[in-house]
Parts: sequence; structure tokens; C-alpha cells
Amino acid sequence: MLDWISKKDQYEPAPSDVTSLLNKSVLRFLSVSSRIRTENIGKTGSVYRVSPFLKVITTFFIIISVSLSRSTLYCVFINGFSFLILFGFCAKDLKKILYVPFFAAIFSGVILLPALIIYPNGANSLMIVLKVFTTVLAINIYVHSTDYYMVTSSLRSLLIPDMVILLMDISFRYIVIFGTQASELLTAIKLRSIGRDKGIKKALFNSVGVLFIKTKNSGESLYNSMILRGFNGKYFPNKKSLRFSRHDLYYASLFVIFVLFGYLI
Amino acid sequence: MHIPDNYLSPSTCAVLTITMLPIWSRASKKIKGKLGNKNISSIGLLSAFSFVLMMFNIPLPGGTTGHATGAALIGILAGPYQACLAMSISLLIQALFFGDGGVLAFGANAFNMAFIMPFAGYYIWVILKGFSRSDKWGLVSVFIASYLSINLGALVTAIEFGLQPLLFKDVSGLPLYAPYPLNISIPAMMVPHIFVAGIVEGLASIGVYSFIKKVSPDIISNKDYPQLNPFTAVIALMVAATPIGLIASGTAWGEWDSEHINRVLGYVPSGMKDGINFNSIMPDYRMPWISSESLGYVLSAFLGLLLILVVFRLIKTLMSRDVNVGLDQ
Repeated sequence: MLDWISKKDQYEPAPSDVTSLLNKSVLRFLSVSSRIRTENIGKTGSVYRVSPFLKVITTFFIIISVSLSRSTLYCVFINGFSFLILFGFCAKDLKKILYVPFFAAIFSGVILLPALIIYPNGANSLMIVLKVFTTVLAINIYVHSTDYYMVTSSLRSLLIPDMVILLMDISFRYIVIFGTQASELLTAIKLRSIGRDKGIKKALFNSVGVLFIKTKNSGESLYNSMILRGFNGKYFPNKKSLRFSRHDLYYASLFVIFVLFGYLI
Repeated sequence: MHIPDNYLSPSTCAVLTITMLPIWSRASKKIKGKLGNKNISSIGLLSAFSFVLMMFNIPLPGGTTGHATGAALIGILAGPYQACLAMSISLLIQALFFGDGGVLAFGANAFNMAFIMPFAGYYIWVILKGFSRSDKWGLVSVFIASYLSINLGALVTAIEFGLQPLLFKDVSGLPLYAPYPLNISIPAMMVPHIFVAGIVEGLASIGVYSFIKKVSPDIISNKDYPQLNPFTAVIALMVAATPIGLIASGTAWGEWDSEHINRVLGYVPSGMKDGINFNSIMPDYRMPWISSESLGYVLSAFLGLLLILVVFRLIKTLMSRDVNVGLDQ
């Protein structure tokens, strides 16, 4: 009898870091795709009904004013407004909205920690942490309360050029498409690499290469199909984004009150 | 490398956004000029590609993972202007919808990652691949171009951070924005990029480039791509190096004013004392109405460059008009 027949099979599963690496990428693709696909239809909170145009104006105002401000109280008041608006969200969205600003603030805090040693009065560094939290929270509130197609149309209301809106629109759609394709490619790699991890890097790079070839080949056909559907390169502001209701009145009043208090106190 | 809001001053963000405006305008004109709107849709796809590329985790030694930016790779594969617009849109989406990079700092991020990186990567690759036509050298040049481009992007980002405490201080002299000076910001940014991020970027670029070269080599044909004008490259390098003047102490040899000569010699020669005294608008590259010397220095450099460009543009327009008149006659 040959030696190898009597030997016990030595099955060595792929090291867990390879599987977790692929899982990590797949999860990232899926989470981004689902975030873009998710629409706010059926959500009952009042903040979802505020005009996207009003939200984009207030969000940009917050970003610019907080960046220019040197008052901690102003940032606190703006955060007060944001936290009040958070009451209008459904519970599922709250976690998603708060996760990123808290993470960004902690990350900034860690980066700026050595500055407290260099400059004993660390008020300015702490102010940066507070400002990062305030601006990221404002952006997240805006993004999670507005559908993606409404975001692009509200940007058009701000006189952002047609070409930029067109590019953003195409990018959004293809991030979902490429994200789905990439996660399928990675799942295939994962299934084929059970018990081995050799060549996984090459397979990863090949997947990116496949996506690039698809990118180059789809450009012209995409444009032709857009033309066939009557697209003439122009974007018009969505009338729905400019329609105002009583929710807008409440939102705008609250915003003005908080900004004024923050400015005057 | 994505700079969040409030790490750079609003004026720094404004200057870098204004700097990007003619670059975006030129890029969109170049792209529209070639194939019209058909190319525009390709840019949308490229920006989606660059977004997705940044989500691919690549294994690193020690069990960690990293991701490539793909700026140099897209520059090499699709051309620098296409890469510039695609990366800009990708950065805008990341800032507006995913909180990755600031909205106000979008111009700064676009300058570092959508201008410096793809253009540097592309032109370094063009120069290097001129040395040899072999496939192996092609791969080496892709690696070097990607490695250097991400490190150059990191260096520019570090300079932007490092200039903040020099330019913007409160009344007590403490920095208002990013607090680390150049001697901290440059090593802090460069060490991880030289030893980790640059290698990841280079390896990812080689991996993707070699696959595309094997499977679909036509895509990489680059006969329409812009070639490097050495004169423009030198000028661009000198403009980018302007802020280095801020860390130089003392005056240039021979460019002494009467006050300095008096301090050194103990007297001012009569010819200089009673000579012509012209008061310029921005004496010593400073702006009298701006209290910060450093900010005045950078702004005066920017204004000087703008003036030179406007003057040469005017001369060019006048000369071309003369030629046209001559042809009409």
C-alpha cells in the first residue's frame, strides 16, 4: 500500500485573516450600496418632510459659520439644534447618524492629543474636536433625512453646474452597480480559496482590473442610452425640493432661534 | 489623506478651491473637446470606479489591511485630466454623503488627491517609461509613479497642515487650526506613506496595470494623452515650493534695505540714503492691510503669479490679433 493512502488528510483551512479581509471588503460594498439604495419612503418622522433645499442651505450655513466661529457656545447651540432635529428621526436611523460624528470626534481627539503637550492651553484643539463633531453631525442629519436623488436636485437649486450634477448622478448609480459586481467577484474568490490563500492578492487586483475594463467599455453605451431616453445634458431643479410646508416653517424657525441665541450669547 | 473640516483655515480652503477652478475648467474643456459629452459619462463611471477602488482592502504584513487611492493608476490608464475630474467627483460624494473629508476642505482635498496625485503619477510614468520599452520596466515605472505620487500628495497635505500654526494664531499666539508645525506634520504624514501607504499604492497599481495590459491592452493606448512640457513642469514646481520661503530666516544676499545696512555697517551710504525711494503696494512681499506676515507672503505670491499670467495672456492675445490682421491684409 502506498504511504500517502494510509496518511490522514491534512486539511488546512485558509487563515482567518484572508477570509475576514474578503468579508470586510464585501461588507463595505454592501453597506455603501444599501445606503445609496435606501429611500426614506414610508418613514414617518417630521424631519423627512422638510424641503431638501432648506436642509442643504442650513447645512452649508452650519459648516461655514462653525468653521469661521471661535465661540464654543455657538457650536454648542448648533449642536443643540441638531440634537433637537434628531428627535424627528426614526430609531433605526439614529444609530447610523450618531456613529460617524462620534467616531470622527474621537479620532480627532486622538490626533490632537499630543498638541495638549506642546501647547498647554488646549482650548483651540478641543474646539477643533467640537467643530468636527458639529459639522459631521450636520452633514449626517442632512444625508440621512434626504433621498439621494433629492440631494442632487437640491444641489441644482444652489446653481451647481449641470455637468457636476450629471457626473454625481452617474457616479451614484454606478457605485451601486460596481459595488454589487465587486462584492460578487470577492464572494467568488472567497468560495474558490477554501483551504488556501495563495494568489488571493492577485485575484483581488484582477477584480479591480475587471471593473476598470467594464468602466471603459460602458461609458459610451451609457451616454447613448441616455440620449435615446431624451436626455439633453440639462438638469432642472426638482420642484418638489422647492415646495415649502409647515414642517419647513418649524425647521427654519428653530434654526433661526438657535443660530441667533448662539450668536448673541 | 482626506482632510476633515476645521483642520485648515477657511481662507486656506478658499485659496485651494480657487486654485482648483482653472484646473477643473481646463480638464472639462479638454475632455469635452475630444469626444463631446460622450466622454463626460465615462468620467462619471471612472469616479464610481475610483470610489469602489478605495473600498478594496488589501492585505498588509502584520495582519492589517490598507487601501489604495488609485489616483496615479487612473491617471496612467485614463489620462490625468480624466482622473482629475473623476477623483474630484468621488471626493465630493465622499464628503457630502459619507462624511469622509470635509465639505469646506473639498478644494484642498481635490488639490492634493485629484490634481497633485494623478498629474504627478502620470508625468512621472511618462518620463520613466521613456527609458526602456520592456514590459518589466513598464511595471517598475508604474510602481515608482504610484509610490511617488501618493508620497507627493502626502507631502503637500503635510505642508498645508504645517503652515496652519505659522499663518493662523489667536491673540495669545496659539494655533487656531491644525496645531502641528512643519517639523512635526511632515514626518507624521510621510513616515507611514513612505513605508506603508506608498508600497500598497504601488503594488495595487502594478497588479491592476499588469492584468489590464494582459487582458485588454488597447485600453492603455495613450497616444492622445498630454506630454510633459519641461518648462511648465519647472514653473509648477517653483510655484508649489513658494511656501518654503516662510521657513527661511534672514534676507537674500544683496537685497538689503537701508535699515539692515545701518544695522550691519553702522551707517547708511549717502547714495542709498538720498536715492530714489519707491513705495510699492506690497513691500517685502507683505500686505499692509493683513496683520499675519506669513498669510501676506503667500497671498502676495498668489497675486504676483496671477498678474504675470494675466499680462502674458494679454500679450498672447494682442500678438495673435496682429497675426490675424496680417493674414487678412
